[in-house]
Amino acid sequence: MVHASVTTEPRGHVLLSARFLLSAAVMGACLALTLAILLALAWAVGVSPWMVLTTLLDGAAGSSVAAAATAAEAVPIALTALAFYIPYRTGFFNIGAQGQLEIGALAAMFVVGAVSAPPALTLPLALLAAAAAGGLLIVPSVLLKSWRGASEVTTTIMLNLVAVEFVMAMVSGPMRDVDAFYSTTVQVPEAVRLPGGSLHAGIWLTLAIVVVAHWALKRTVFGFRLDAVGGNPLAAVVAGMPVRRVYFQAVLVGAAIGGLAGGIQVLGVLHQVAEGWSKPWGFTGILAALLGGSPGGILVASLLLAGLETGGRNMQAMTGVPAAMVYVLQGLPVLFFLALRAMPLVRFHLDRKEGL
Amino acid sequence: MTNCNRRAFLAAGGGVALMLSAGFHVRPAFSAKPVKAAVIFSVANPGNAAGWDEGSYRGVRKLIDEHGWDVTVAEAVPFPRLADTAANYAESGYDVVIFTSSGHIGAWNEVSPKYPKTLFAMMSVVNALPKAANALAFSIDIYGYGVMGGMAAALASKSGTIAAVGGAPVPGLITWMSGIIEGAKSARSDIEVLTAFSGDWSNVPRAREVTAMQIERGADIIVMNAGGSTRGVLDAVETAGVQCIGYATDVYAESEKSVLTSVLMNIPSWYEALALAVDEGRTEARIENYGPDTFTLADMHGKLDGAVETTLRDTIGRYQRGELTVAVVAHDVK
Amino acid sequence: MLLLDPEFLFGLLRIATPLMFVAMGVLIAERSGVLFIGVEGAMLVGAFAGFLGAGLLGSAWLGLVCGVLAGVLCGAAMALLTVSIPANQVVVGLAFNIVCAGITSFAFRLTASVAPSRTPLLEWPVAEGTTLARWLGHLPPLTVLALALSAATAWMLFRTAPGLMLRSAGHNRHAAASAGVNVGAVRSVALLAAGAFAGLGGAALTAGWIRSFSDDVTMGRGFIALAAVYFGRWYPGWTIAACVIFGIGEAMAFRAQSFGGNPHLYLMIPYLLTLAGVALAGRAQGPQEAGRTEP
Repeated sequence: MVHASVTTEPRGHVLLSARFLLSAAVMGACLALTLAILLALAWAVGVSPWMVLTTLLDGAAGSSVAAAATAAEAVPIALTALAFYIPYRTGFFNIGAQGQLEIGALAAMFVVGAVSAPPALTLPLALLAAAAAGGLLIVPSVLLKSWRGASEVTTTIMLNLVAVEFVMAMVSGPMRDVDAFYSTTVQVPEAVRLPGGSLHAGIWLTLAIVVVAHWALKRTVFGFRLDAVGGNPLAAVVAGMPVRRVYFQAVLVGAAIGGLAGGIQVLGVLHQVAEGWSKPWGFTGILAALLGGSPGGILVASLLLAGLETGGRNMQAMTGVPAAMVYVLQGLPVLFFLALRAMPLVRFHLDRKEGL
Repeated sequence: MTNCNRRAFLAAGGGVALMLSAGFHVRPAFSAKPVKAAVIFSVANPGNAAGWDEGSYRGVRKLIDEHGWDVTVAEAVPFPRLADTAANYAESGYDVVIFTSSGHIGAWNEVSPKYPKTLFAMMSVVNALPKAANALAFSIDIYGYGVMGGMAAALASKSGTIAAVGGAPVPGLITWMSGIIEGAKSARSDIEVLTAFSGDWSNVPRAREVTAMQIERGADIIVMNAGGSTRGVLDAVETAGVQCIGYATDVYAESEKSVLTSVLMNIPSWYEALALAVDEGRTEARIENYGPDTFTLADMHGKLDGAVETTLRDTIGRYQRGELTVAVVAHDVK
Repeated sequence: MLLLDPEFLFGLLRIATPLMFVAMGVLIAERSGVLFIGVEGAMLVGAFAGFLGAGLLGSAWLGLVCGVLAGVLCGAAMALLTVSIPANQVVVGLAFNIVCAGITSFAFRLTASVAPSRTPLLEWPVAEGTTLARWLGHLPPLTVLALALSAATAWMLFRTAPGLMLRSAGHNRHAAASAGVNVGAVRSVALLAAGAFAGLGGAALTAGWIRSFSDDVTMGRGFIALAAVYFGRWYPGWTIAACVIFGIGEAMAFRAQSFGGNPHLYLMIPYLLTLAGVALAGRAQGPQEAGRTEP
């Protein structure tokens, strides 16, 4: 594994365009297949397929407003994708990004409510709190794995469920807005929201994080060590690497980014934590991570999945088709993509080191 | 944000670009075209939700079938997305946007002032209007509604213990439960009223087990309002062989064995009233409140002893006509 | 003592029984070397098929059969995706879950006009008043079935040749292959069985317990079954124990609500108990192949 990453590095650039084109073609085919199924479903419930198609595309990128909404929707997907992807490089499955996001959002909301400092101070403090909360939530999983050998798949899923109930307990209890007609916190005051309106600062922050992650994973000792630890921990120990530290760092950084996703979503887009406030971004994020296969790829995959989400929402609202069609719309292309990409012919032409 | 002249560039197939422009506007009162309306639900599949949302959905069907409205239904809209969804409709030239739950009040307050050309109708429990001339509400006396359910349950109970089972502890539901407690006590002073929440509106197993526990604690009549998890309540009631009282619509067909009666709200009639108001141009801001006289007790299919049913219907009738007053107490139910 | 209270006991068994079926499915899949994250989706599909079948055919038992058949279909899809092709087991599972949520919700709406909204009660298929009926008495039929199937699974896995083949495929693919085991075939069959169990568990939830269906009715119970298998260290007996522990936790949470306080705080109990259980289960070594993608 270690050697493979060294030897394939120079070939990367030569193969980039062909590899990219093939990936894009496969993705396009998957989307086309999904659309065909979607239109058939629309026809089955008696809605004009043309209306479904136009409202879908219109909602995803038909106007500057829609495009901005898609970009904002991509933020929690891309960040939770990184929350999965970075630990994954060391061989740790963080299925808990959804919980980290929920708890991060709650922490940000708590700081906003509890701290009375100038916005320029409160905002970064709230984001830091979000990241810290996300990081804290994964600590039990890491400790249980290293002390007791407990599978992190289980513990992170359990912590997701704990986090969801905890957030509900807080928004229907101590942090509840008593004047609201459903369980919710108060709205984030205008001054403490992420600046920039619909293209809020969180989008640029996410972009920066993706770029840094891309660079760090590809070009730094840290990234090299992650792969070494993930590929062959024994060899990494022999090579004198601080395996445990690398491993903890990767997992904590990932979970913190997951928490940050929640903070950004609440300070930049939704401005409140409430019952049913979140979408399963954390799970969509895992799809994005495995589709993307690198931080850059994650960005593309996140935008695509976000577009399906915003477009699907518009499609549902404007044509009245069942909301279930939106789920179908998000899951199917991923399944098709996985199936197609794993076909021997396609796989042969894709760089195996990058494909997960 | 308020770009009315929206254009959509659609790349389809081999790169054919198509242009669509949306955003025409019709004022309902002057138009010969059908009224273009959007209805917002927070549940998925409202037509099959047994209870409140199903009642609303029947009202929506009336708008479509009897009034010829051109209606779009948004479903499963999460609370924080409500305002965006409503604004999207207003910008797309809808004449009327209808909210179907008191959980939508925040969005109603926020969006109504921003789009004065669109009428925003709230079809649920409210006690104040947004600061806008284009907002209209059809609300009910939820406390009085609870009183009727409480009276019916107390007078039908043999064990002397009844239970109110609700979904999430939201203000409207707490008022409803307070009404049940006071209504039950006014009809029968020795009654014990249990209250419980399943915690949300969708977890059917949870609603089932929470209800089963109230029955175990002695309740033999369950007054329910559990939204999407209503069928969990019904199953617990049916398994234990006790009776329940349905919310909003008649749920007798769901479980003939275990539904004693339902306290009916005539939800479709609110939608009728809305259609009439729009047709006649009477859309000035107001809350139309439906009181106890508009609620009815559904058929009991001979489940109660004749004399008991007569007393029960008589007591409730007197309350509805205002001959019997019940104290309004805000209980701190948990 | 709470555990001696029959109502509490039946309550926790109602909660634990669907989990037992699903967990057996997960255990079989993972023992053969496939990480079965898609179990949540397979359970949901089984839940819908069980509900629809029981309602249309007028019998809860036939509903369970429908659940099994639907589960087998899901297992076949998983086998195609993760064994024949093979794509990444985690991501296929997650995408599969999302698709299943959409398909069941869509189908539920399409069938709402033809299927009754509630299904018939599930009872022992024996005549009332007979000695057998008296013997079976109040024993919950599905719990008995779940325990019997778990025992059969344990016997099959650890006492028979096919079981050994299955475990060897999960332990070390190359060693198994060189011993003449057709790893792909073994895993495909294991996934069909796993799907059947997951579908049965889903049907046990709808046709056997709540007797109705709603969108996403499983609400993470498939994942909880997954946790039960890890807690049980891939052994049937401990896995069943984990399901019971979760049942105790959830039944306690329902009860604790009547003491007052915020219900959601109590609802954290079952998950925390499961976490504690996993922590106390000690060092575990799962099937080494589970999660690997390479063909």
